Amino acid sequence: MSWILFKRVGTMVLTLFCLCTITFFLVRLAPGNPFESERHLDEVAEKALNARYGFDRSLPEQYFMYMGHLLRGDLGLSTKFQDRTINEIISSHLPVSIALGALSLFFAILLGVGSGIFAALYRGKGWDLLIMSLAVLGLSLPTFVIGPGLQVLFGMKWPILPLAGYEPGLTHLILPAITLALPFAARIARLTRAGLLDILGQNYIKAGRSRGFGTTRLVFVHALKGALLPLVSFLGPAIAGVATGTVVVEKIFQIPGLGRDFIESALNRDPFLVLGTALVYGVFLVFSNFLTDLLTLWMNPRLRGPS
Amino acid sequence: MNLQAEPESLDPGLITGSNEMRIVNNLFEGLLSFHPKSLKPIPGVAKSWTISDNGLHYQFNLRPSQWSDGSPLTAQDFLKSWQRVLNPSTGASYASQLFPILNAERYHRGQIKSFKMVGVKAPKDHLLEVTLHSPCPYFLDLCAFVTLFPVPMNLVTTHPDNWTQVERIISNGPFILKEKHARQNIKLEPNPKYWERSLIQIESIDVSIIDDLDTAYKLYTEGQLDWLSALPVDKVEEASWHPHYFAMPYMGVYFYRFNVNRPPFDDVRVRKALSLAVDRVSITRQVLKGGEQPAIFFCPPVGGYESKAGLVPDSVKAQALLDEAGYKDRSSFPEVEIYYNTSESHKRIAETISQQWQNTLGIRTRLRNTEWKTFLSQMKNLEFDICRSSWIGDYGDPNTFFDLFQSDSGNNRTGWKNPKYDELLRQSQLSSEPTERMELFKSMEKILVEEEFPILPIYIYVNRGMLNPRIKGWHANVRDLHPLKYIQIEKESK
Repeated sequence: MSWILFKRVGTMVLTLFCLCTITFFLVRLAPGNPFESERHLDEVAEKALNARYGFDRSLPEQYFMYMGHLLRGDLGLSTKFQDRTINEIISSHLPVSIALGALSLFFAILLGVGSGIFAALYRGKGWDLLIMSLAVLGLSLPTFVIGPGLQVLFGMKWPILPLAGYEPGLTHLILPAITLALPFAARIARLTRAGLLDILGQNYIKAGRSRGFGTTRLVFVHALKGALLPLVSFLGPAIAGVATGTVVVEKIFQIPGLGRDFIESALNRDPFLVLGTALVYGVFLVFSNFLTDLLTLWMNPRLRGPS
Repeated sequence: MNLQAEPESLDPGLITGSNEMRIVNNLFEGLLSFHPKSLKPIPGVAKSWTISDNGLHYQFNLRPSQWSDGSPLTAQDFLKSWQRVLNPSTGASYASQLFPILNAERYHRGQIKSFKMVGVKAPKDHLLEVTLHSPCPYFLDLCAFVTLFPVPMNLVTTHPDNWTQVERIISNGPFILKEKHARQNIKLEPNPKYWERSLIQIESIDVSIIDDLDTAYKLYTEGQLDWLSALPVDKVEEASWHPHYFAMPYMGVYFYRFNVNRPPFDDVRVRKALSLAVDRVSITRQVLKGGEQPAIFFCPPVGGYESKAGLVPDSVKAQALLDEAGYKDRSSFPEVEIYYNTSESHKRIAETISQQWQNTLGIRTRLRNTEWKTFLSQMKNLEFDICRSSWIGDYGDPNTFFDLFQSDSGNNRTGWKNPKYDELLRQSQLSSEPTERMELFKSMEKILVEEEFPILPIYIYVNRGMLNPRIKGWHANVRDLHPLKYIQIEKESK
């Protein structure tokens, strides 16, 4: 087991190293210049700016410089926000993103698993139909429709939650988290329902039922763990989706998270911010995959193989 | 109030964008400032000034004033701040704002090493003397522009990368920076050390950074903003019925550039034909619908200049010109490309123009779009046939528009060179006689939009938004410039 762990960690480091290297060259080779604007930038100013960020050196030199700084934990300076370092930007925006992501994942699981179980228990009845239709709706409505809809409902018509903006705390995150959670909740509801139906049809459950176990005990004690397996393997991509899919939600609700930096830095050709955010997401995704694998191993003994 | 994007910096010497200026104009003050209504330069840190008869020597008498930390502000502060902007290693994109000063450009380009040769002297604590290389009728206007604001040099030297951070920054303007949260909000409070502190009645100003216009509009309708500085395109019609709505022509022009190095646009008749075949009115009325002013001229009304140039669209003339240029058989006209940066509104305009050319002239065009930075780099390298462009003036003088098309200007970006135009521009820059200058501008504009057509003007921008009537001391104007120190909030009376 420890050898497997060691190998996995090694792969993770290698993955991140490749990510950094490829991103570095992609962003530096992309057409366009970080300092370009609609106004002509005079050569003197351009030269000074290039020197400030080390762009006057050769590309390999820039790369090794960046990697050197990276190892010391210095992510560099933003070319767009001239008085901010990447470390500052990430450390102020990342916690907001994590809070938003965690809250929306919580909503997604709560809503998805709950309604999935409900639908499975009332299979083929009105409730099932209603929940599954809502799930289709949740999957097909884009966030730029759900978000403004929720704003109008809960920010304007019944103003119980802030319309937009951010202050530390959860209240400003509820609407954006729900917006973000709905499509995932829909997927989770379908997965849970299908998984549970599959398990409920199996012999050991039937045997339990014939021994007089109640539905609650059967579902929550015996069936659910097995039924949630497909869900766990969906969680890895879901976490990735929640983490990287926040751009639209952040814009609609004006949440200062990292999702915007991730996209806009590339549009602004802000090289070190591109690298910094890519790295953060990379670490995040690699770790969440790793944890999902561990969780799957723990939940499904068959995968562990002979010890 | 709202800002449409996170300010990139609050350093007066380095900023170039209007978002940044909206904050910096209120944190700092130059020798002069702008009258809130007329936009005429009025005393700022300088309480008075004299200009020599030949228009070359300026003497500014500074009032005794202080930085927000209580340290005195002297003429030396201006001198050192200007030196910093001109210093080649600073990387100030707007250093050219100081170029009217004697030897400033040569110092910036490293052609002279000693700043003593530049025409700025501070012989006394409260006296600043400036010598220009030639008369510059808008120099006072420039003295109220952010690039020429003083910065606290001690702080800048000790923290060059981040002296503008909220816990550090000191300023000399009517307000100080109280809070700044990235992509959230900025809070300004009156500067207790400001020389005209007694004028400021407002207790604080909250600036929300909201780049989603729909959200900003919702916040305004919910009463969470008092001043909304822009509107989402699809809400303009709805908002225009609202009593809080305002709309005002803006000192900016939307136009197309022709690449005159590429056939068929190396032929002026083709450029003229295409220009004559564009119906601007239907673009502003049916596509934009926001009160934009259709433009067959190039320079918006600024600094007393009112343009009367331009040729009224005429499809018959346009067809004749294209025949004359050798394209009687329209199928021999090459398929040309309209290039724009990705945006729904640029696309709609390009589609409309393409359709108009097809209908009037029977020629075919392709549309191509890329994202902003790629677009800029291709425009700069003249990798286009026709390219969407715009220009917002920097200061209140037509020169800010006409110097674009000087042959060797980095902003020209058409490949068009015209010695006669250059000469007229040079004369206008040497002259200090207002009527003579206006005549020269007229002649230049005539070359641009009646004779040579390196560009195809389309419309003059409009700035529109919503303002709560309880806000007093705010005046809509062509430069969208609103000094916040004059703002008052009327107490609601019921």
